[in-house]
Amino acid sequence: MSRTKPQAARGGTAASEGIEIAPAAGDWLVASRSPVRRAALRFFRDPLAVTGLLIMALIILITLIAPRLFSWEEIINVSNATKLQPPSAAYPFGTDNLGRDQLGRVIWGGRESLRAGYLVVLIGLGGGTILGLISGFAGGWVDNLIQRCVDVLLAIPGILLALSVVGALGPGLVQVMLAVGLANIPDYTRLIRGSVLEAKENEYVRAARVLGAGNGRIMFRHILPNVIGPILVYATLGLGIAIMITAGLSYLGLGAQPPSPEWGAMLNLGREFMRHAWWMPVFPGLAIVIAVLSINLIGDGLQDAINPKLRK
Amino acid sequence: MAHLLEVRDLVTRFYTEDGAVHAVNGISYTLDEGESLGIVGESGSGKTVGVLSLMGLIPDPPGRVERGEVFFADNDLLKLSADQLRDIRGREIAMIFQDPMTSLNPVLTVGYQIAEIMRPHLNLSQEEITERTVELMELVGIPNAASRRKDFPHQFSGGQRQRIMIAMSLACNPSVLIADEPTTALDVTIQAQIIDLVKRLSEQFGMATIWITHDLGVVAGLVNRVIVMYAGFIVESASVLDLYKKTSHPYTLGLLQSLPSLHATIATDRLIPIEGAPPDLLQAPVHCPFAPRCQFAVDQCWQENPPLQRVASNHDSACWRWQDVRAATEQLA
Repeated sequence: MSRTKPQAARGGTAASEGIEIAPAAGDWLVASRSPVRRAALRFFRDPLAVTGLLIMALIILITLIAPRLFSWEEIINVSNATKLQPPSAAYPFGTDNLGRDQLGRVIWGGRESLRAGYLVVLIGLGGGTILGLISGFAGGWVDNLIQRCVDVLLAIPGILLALSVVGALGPGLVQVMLAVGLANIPDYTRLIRGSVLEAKENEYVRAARVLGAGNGRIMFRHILPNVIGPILVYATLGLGIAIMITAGLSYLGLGAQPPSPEWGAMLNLGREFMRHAWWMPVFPGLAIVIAVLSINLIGDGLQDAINPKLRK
Repeated sequence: MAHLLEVRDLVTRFYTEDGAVHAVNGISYTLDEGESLGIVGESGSGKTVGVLSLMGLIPDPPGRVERGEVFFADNDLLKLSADQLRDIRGREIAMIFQDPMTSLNPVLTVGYQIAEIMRPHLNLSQEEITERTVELMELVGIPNAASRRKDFPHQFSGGQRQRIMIAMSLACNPSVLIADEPTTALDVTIQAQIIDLVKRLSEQFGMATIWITHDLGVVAGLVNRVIVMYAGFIVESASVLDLYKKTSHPYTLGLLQSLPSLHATIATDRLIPIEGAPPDLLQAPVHCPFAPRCQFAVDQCWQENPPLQRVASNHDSACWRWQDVRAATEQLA
């Protein structure tokens, strides 16, 4: 979970000097392009970020073609003959206590976990962006109303909120996604409101208004593109956290229900057999670690690319 | 006789935690078609707030236009709905700003920003808008306009950005162009070019212009009439020539004396600064706001705020002792 710093990639002092010069020269070269393309170029020059992106792409690819590798029946059908087998050529990740292929379950579990993570971030980011934009832009009593609602939501611990949503709607991955997504909205709202408050004081906002632009146009065309950069970084890092929280809630039995192979649920199942079948908790656990790590690498890379001044 | 724009008794205040700031205190003026008017005053004298008020652009809260009428094309701008006002802004009244470095949005191409003005106001197809964007950029003197249309603001110099702001404000052929210190952020050679460009284009398209500036030197060769503002009041209003030759307000005289001149016609060798600082706008004015800094001040100035009164044809001054000021001016000249 810790934020990896690019220093790790840089060797001794001699090597790091060479690296220091290269981006500077590069920045000068790309000075004549759009802000998005300049950020993209900086991103792709960061080896750690690119590694993260490649791992994430690979994970997404594998989860997308999961149905071609293993059928749904294959991974939920119980078989006494194959139960608790250690990793082998036939079952690279071993089998669980019900004789199901762990490899297939981890791959299918990725579909559940990643989708949950993306949806959580989408709910938080979408809701937070709209509320934050309105709140920061309108000011006055609108701002006050939204911020007091945010205060209330922030005062409720996320897990507790998730528990109460699950309590009301019953356990399940969708309910957990909704709950965690909702719990995320206040953070994004605050973050975006702050940036909007700063951005709306810019002269170009006044210029746009003087020349006849309406509120909607100013909010979405002029302010949003100027504040979205740091928020995307936050959302990327938030994706890792979202995957962990949904896995965590599934581990507690609130999220994905059997026989669904969600990573957290698999981890929970594996816990009971940890002493005899180490492969049961280890492989879903590793999957979570690798997915979250790659997302964090991407997030750090984005951070440096969008705001190069923060780079050491 | 119908004026293009007529402002009557405009009062704007800002309500802050420390109390009400009396930013604009009942100003009235007119602007005729094709005329160019200069509004001069130091920082905080209400020049900018005055024009922003008439376009409904005072942030509320904390600001509020308390009183007044602004007639433009048979409408009272202060009574129009937000939508009606928005339609007038950009199409009928356009504005260019002080700092071209910050008045363009860094994440949008300049072509987009010029085209954006035309979209809601003019009924043009996408191709026509693109064509006009390039035309406008050429008009304001951007080379290779067709390809530079797709460039971002950071790829232009300060002078070029101000040219692009001018292109944006011209996009819909407005009848009034307000230039709010458009050259303060530019270096002197570019200043002259920009002033020249705005002057040429406003004559070419018959636009009335309002120049807001604190530089009496800039307006001298540029406008027909000058309004001098102090502490939210109009203290003198006259044709440029009268203002220089028949100065009738001690503040204007002070401004002229503190102006460096190549020929040193007004002052002798040394510049004469206006002593003291502008008044605290939190206090509602009871006496003449300039009295504390005025070398002409007498008891009456501390008891009554002088109204703007006619001192000659087309020449108004808000000073009890305008005759003495004028005599002093003529003596200096």
